[in-house]
Amino acid sequence: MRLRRSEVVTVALDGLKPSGFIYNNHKYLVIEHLARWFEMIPWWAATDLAYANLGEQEIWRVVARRTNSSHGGVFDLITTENNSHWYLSRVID
Amino acid sequence: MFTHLNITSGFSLQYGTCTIENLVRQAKKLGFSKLALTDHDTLAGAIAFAAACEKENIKPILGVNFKINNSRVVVLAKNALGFSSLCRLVSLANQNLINHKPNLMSEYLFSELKDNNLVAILGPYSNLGQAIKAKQFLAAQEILSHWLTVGRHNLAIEIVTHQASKNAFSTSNAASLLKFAKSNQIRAVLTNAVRYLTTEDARTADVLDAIRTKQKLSSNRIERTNSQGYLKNSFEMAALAQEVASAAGQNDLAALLIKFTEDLALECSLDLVKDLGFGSISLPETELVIKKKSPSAHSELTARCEAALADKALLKKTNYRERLAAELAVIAQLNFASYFLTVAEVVNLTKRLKIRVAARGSGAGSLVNYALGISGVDPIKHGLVMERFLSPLRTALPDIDIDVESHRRLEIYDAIIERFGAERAICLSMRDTYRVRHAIRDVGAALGYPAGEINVFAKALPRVRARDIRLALSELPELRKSNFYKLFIQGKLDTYLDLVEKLDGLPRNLAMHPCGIILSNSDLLNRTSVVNSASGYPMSEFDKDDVENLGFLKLDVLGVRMQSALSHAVAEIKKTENLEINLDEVSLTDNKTFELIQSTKVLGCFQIESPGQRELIGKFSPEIFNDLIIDISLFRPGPMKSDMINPFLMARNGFSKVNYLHPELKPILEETWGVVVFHEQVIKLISAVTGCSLAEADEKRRQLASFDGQLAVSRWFAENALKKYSLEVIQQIWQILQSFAAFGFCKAHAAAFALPTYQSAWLKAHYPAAFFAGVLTHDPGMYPKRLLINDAKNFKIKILPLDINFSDKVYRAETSDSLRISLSEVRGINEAEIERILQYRPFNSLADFWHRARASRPVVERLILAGAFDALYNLPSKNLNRRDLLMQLDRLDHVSGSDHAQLGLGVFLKEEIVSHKLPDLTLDEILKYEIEILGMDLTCHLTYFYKDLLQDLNIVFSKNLLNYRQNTEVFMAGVKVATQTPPVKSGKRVIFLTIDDTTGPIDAAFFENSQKDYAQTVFNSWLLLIRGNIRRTGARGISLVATGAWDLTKIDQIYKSSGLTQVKEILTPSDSRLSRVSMPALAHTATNLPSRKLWQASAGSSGS
Repeated sequence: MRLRRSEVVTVALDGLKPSGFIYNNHKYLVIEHLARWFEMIPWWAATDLAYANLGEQEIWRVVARRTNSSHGGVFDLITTENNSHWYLSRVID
Repeated sequence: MFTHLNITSGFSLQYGTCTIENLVRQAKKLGFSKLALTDHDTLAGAIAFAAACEKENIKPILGVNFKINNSRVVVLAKNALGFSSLCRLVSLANQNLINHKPNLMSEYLFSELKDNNLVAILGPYSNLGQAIKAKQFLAAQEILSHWLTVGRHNLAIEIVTHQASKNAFSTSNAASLLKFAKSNQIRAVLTNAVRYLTTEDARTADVLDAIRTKQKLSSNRIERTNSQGYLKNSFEMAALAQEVASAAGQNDLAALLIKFTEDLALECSLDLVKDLGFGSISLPETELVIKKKSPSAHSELTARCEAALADKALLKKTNYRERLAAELAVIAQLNFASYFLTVAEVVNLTKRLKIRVAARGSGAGSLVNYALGISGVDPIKHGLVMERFLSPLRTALPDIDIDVESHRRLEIYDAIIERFGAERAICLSMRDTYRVRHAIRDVGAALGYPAGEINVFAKALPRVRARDIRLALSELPELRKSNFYKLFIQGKLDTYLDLVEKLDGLPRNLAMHPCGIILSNSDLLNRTSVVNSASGYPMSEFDKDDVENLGFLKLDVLGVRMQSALSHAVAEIKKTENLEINLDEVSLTDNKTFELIQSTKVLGCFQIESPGQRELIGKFSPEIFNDLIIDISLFRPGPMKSDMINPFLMARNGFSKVNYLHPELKPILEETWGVVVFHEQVIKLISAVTGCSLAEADEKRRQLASFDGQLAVSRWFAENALKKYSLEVIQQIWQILQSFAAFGFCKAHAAAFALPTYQSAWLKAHYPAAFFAGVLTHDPGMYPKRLLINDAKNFKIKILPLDINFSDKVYRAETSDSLRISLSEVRGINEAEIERILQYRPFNSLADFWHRARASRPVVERLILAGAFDALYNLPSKNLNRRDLLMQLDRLDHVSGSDHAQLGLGVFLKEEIVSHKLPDLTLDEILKYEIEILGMDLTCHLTYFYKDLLQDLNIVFSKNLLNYRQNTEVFMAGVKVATQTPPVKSGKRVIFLTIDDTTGPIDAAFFENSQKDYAQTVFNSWLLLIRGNIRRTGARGISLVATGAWDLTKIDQIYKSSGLTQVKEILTPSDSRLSRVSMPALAHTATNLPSRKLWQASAGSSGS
């Protein structure tokens, strides 16, 4: 349950579900939502308790494919509660 | 609509995060109409939960989340019998502790389930859920078939998803369980396994996990993986149902899941009255408390009361007969006869054990209680009304509290349990809740702050509410230097403080109530769960409010040290005078007793020994027993603050005219010279003016306590006031009712209290040696023993020194005017050492003592230094002194460790003590050891060393104070015995200081203007020199308004080095330099003071 956070991505939403995102200057289209879960952030481990992010992260595991290409794979998209920032944490090509 | 069936509260100790009140409030906010409480292995919160639900119009569902080996199962009650099953199961699980935690044997659960009153909900943590999680489907089928032996309708499968990844609370696992339920035709219900009310509270759960496992917070200690286990609303739960159904590939199951959940919630909704017995009354079976021949409890009660009154020659009197008939009629109407017989039986059990017992409280207002021997106060003689205690308008059981000898209280518990049976008598419990300091420590440890710093922080915090910590932090100077203060200023302490606030008020522990006993019928153990207290007594998991709701008889058996002291004194009189005294029969009009009380020499007497009380008694001069009742009623915070006392004293002492408002009210107000003091007078006034019954008048009196109640009563009062009173009189009476209703005192209660007050004064007046033996042994009062010893000397009691051949474990009156110091006073001596000393004496030498009593060396040293061997060796003699004995002890100790002792040669049994020609102890040293070892100055008073200074300063002694006029400036000196800083009318702090100068106590008041310069001296010094002006407040009332205080030892140093002139300069009003210097209190005594009570410091209320 390590804090996993890597590249910031722009995500398009269909309701609450991600429907596509831009990664490495490529547009990806979500084809299938495999799973969605919530994970807590170990708040007590933050260096400064007062500024620790006390929320939790929502994770979507999706199958996505680059537009105009057969290139694709499984991606974990992470957001904090308000869906304002998205991160891409894992790619399985 | 959705209903949560799995919720833990803070009663799941160190696990659940919410209080019952917050849970029910949040449920109401979310619009739930039914709600379950399913704490871990306990029903402790169940009754409070049901009561809270009722207030919010929510139907309660009760269950328990049982630990069964390595699994957990939620079990809900379907009805009253189901609740009984839960009670029994919790009690059984508590008989089977594994690692101090209750564990339920599955056979018990299966056998109860088969009765169709319970339903077991098998969730992710059940053995079935664990098998499915592990994908062991064959094993799961086998487990299910075992569960199915209890009947399909007594089972459900619990679907929970916290939308976690992979674990037991993941959607995929929930889907597996749902599919399993579907294929096996077991109903599935949806819960959220709620542990916190909102996502914000989730962190509290983590902290509790860390506290429970006594570890710093870390991922592998934390149970939750996200914050989804909160009290979700109906929509959120419906969405979860959809998510699980869809993950299971059967979308149509979502609606079914919700429906099954709601059906089960309906099936398990409980009715407070029908299922839990709220409002019922369950007393021990009548057969237990009546004789076989009696047709009913009521006829038995009637017969007993009549016989007892006939014995006292009271039954002939019409007013007694009528009063008895009236009380019995109310008791018959309420069907409470067996209640009275039960309490009477407990009192009789106590008396049979020869333990002193006295009723306290409003119960003394009942003639039935007097006749049954429950109370020792004749209510008719003292104008007490029954309605204050028992009224046809109130159907709850009345409260009877009994005071017993404190050191024998548990004997009474044993007797009650033996008499009524363990199935009918158990102890009451109480909840120890998290307070700020606990929370600071526990949360701090969980967050990994250094233990030392946490400790400093927790200790420095005053007793504040959690939400006031921030204020305290910003204001307390002693916290300024701490790291926490720095963090706080930087805003880095918010998480910590938030969590402390969350813990505040959560249950922390279940403890045995200090005095409550529950009695009921043989169904008791089917209506309450029982756990063992730390001391091994079975106790209910319910607290006093729960027990009142359930209608069990709750009896408070309070241990009162004064009762022990009285009992000890009576035993001493039997020994020294060969006289059997029955304290409860002594005349209440004894002159000698009232002379003593009027003299204010009442140290050690119950209730009236405090400085404030002594002053009041001096002004009041009680002459009859009723005066004592009034005195006790007046000396309380309410009357003190509202200044009821002065008008009363003015009228009583004839300085102002007594106003009875109306001739017809004179009988009511006469006893208190026109001032309303008692609840009983309020009741009688209301009844007289409006013509209503006393019972109704008491209801109105109760309403007067609140502002809204006063409004309601005022209209009613005006409308019903009888024609014979003028409007003016009615208004006057209303004024009085309004202002005094809140401050008045229950006269019955005061009368019950006045009895031991009188009895203790009677003993002090007639048998002082026995009296002091009692109070010194049981230490019931506020003063240090050294003051009581001095007081005893002033009562011409010879204080006999500590002696290994004569001192007992307790204080003994050896004759009618001598008193022997007890062995228990020796610092560090233990029970076993005392027992051996008593068993093996007499001792004929120190060696003999050393070998047979086998006390530890430091204890023997202390015994020698405190003079316990002086009589044996005729010390001090020409050739021998205590130092020689110490040398001898050294040799004995040396030889004990050598071969001689191991060979058992007893070489030194017939020893000769060798004189070492050492100088004997000086008086200084003797006194120093007395204070160190016994905590008291016996040989001479501590001020003895300053006698030259005190003489030169013309010090006034306590016993001579009465010779001086009002406002005379005097110097007094003595040893501090008490400081009190009670709240007073003006709101300004007053320090009351009591010192003792061998001739009696002196009470001095430091008002605000003298505090600035002298408060520190008063609090930090032990030997004090006081300057003050005499204030006379009545015939015997006298005290000092202090204008200065100095440390006597420091002044004496100046006296010895620089002379009297220098001292006088310092003591002149303008100079107070010395007082500001903080200095060690003792010059002549040891610097390492023994850790015992040498003086008393309290913030005690003026009424305590």
